[in-house]
Amino acid sequence: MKESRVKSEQRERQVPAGGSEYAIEINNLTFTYPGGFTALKEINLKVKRNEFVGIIGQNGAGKSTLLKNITGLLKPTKGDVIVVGVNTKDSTVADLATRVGFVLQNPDRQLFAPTVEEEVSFGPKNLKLPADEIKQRVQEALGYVGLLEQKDAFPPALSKGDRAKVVIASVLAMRPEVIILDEPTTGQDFRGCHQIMGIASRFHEAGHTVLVVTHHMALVTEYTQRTIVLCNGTVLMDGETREVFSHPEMLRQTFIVPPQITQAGTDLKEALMAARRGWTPRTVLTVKELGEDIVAAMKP
Amino acid sequence: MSVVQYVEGNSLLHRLDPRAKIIMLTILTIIIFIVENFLMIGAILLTILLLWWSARLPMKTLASYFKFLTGLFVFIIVIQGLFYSGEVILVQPLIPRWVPLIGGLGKISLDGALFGILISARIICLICLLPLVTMTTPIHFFALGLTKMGLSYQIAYTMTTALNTIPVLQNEASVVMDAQKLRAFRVFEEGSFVQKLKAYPALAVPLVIGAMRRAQLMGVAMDSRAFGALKRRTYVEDIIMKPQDYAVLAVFAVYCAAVLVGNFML
Ligand SMILES: Nc1ncnc2c1ncn2[C@@H]1O[C@H](COP(=O)(O)OP(=O)(O)OP(=O)(O)O)[C@@H](O)[C@H]1O
Ligand SMILES: [Mg+2]
Repeated sequence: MKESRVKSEQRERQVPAGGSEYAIEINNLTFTYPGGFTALKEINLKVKRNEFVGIIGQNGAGKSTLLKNITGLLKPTKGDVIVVGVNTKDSTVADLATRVGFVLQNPDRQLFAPTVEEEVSFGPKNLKLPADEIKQRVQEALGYVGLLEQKDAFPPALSKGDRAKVVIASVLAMRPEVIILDEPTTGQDFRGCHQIMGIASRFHEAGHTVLVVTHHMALVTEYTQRTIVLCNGTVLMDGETREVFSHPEMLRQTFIVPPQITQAGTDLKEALMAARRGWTPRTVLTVKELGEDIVAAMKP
Repeated sequence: MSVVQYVEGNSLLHRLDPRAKIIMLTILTIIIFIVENFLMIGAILLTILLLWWSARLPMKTLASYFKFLTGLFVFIIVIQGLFYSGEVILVQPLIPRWVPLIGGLGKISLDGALFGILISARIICLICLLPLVTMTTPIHFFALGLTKMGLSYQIAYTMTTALNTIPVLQNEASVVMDAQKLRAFRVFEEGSFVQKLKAYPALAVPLVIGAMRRAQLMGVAMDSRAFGALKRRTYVEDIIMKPQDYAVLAVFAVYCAAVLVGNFML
């Protein structure tokens, strides 16, 4: 009985999954806040299944507003947002939540339960799942973020990195198809940043779609395949991460500077191109790549 | 539903000295509690509504107060009707008299219902009155007004900080509600009134923890800037009572007298 229920649920999930090649389709999205401020203007974007997308842009560019429109917390003033085959206009946040998981900016404000376990089980309980399934999902989600041992802890008393992970686990426990993270790395130390991006990365490798907003350019270049640059409510650039970071002059318009390693790579590239005509190395995204290019350049 | 957010404007209420506004607010609050005559409480409510309109305060907010409070008013009127004995009975006993112990309960008296209406009218008057001051006075002027009237700066500062905190708390509450919706919690989107009422206490935990964190930080920030080191303060922006303020106070005095006379004579 229980098994058949789980199975029919999986089947339900697979129907939209087979429906479209896009996880997210945004058509002519304009969004105006009640006060009259238009935060998004005529946005058109398509995100394929299993993409890992970074969204960057200065403070106030409209990143959070865009993410809230994707998750249904805000509904478009004009245009449509279609998430895993469902138009957000025809759905509630709660219904969309099983398709797209959203970790809001500032994890601390999203913790409301007395223990980590209760925090993570809050979502599955709302889905009215059987008790053993809830338990299994909590185990799985906490295992995913490496917090199994802290399951009885009081969430606000955890370290900053662990608090962020609890929120991520609570969202993962919904088993969404897409996961969206709004500045999950802000205020985290080096280890925290990479642990969080590592979780996102594993989720991506498991076949899911991931969108991450961050102000850490080095994390964007290291982890994402595609980068979308927002500027004053419009899409300034959108493309392969390597391509986007090959245009520092455009990025500067929205006060973004490529990571230092990319800048060093660009300097090296110019020096090499001057020395060896007709040879154009790639735009460097990571330390590893720069190392490889230096080795390649030293070969005769 | 913001209660204390300052609304930009240049109406008479906006231009009045904060002290004049505080005096009128205090006196009118007392009068609202004194008045028992329906005509007079109605007149006060009408005056308040007219002032909202003249100060161009958002009518939407006003409407939301009424909408929000309707349930409470129905509750008050029914409860008063049930427990206030009176001659005229509006609704006959819901429970027949022959039932032991609770027989005969459940009748609603006219006097009780009228008293319930009076209490409801007082509540709506008070709730609509406060924003007439808070929405037309920038918060630092409000504090300045209080200190000039003899309140210690420390206490005035505490009060304005508390008022300033309300929008912050509202914002934080909506973030927690969003986080809950994102985990398939349906009550805020499609739940009944009772379900919503039950869901609000859960919001208190993160709000209180957040408030305590902020208070601690703020204390450190204030100490590091020597808050309260000087007993006598000077002010960058000062306020002075103008003839206009005295004129308004005079008109207000006449208004109050008229309301009180009306209340005791009619
Ligand atoms: N509730 C609101 N009402 C009115 N305007 C808002 C509201 N929330 C955000 N804005 C405005 O919309 C614009 C975009 O805000 P948004 O939060 O989407 O920016 P962001 O790119 O996420 O910035 P950050 O990097 O600071 O998080 C900003 O100019 C902001 O002032
Ligand atoms: Mg943001």
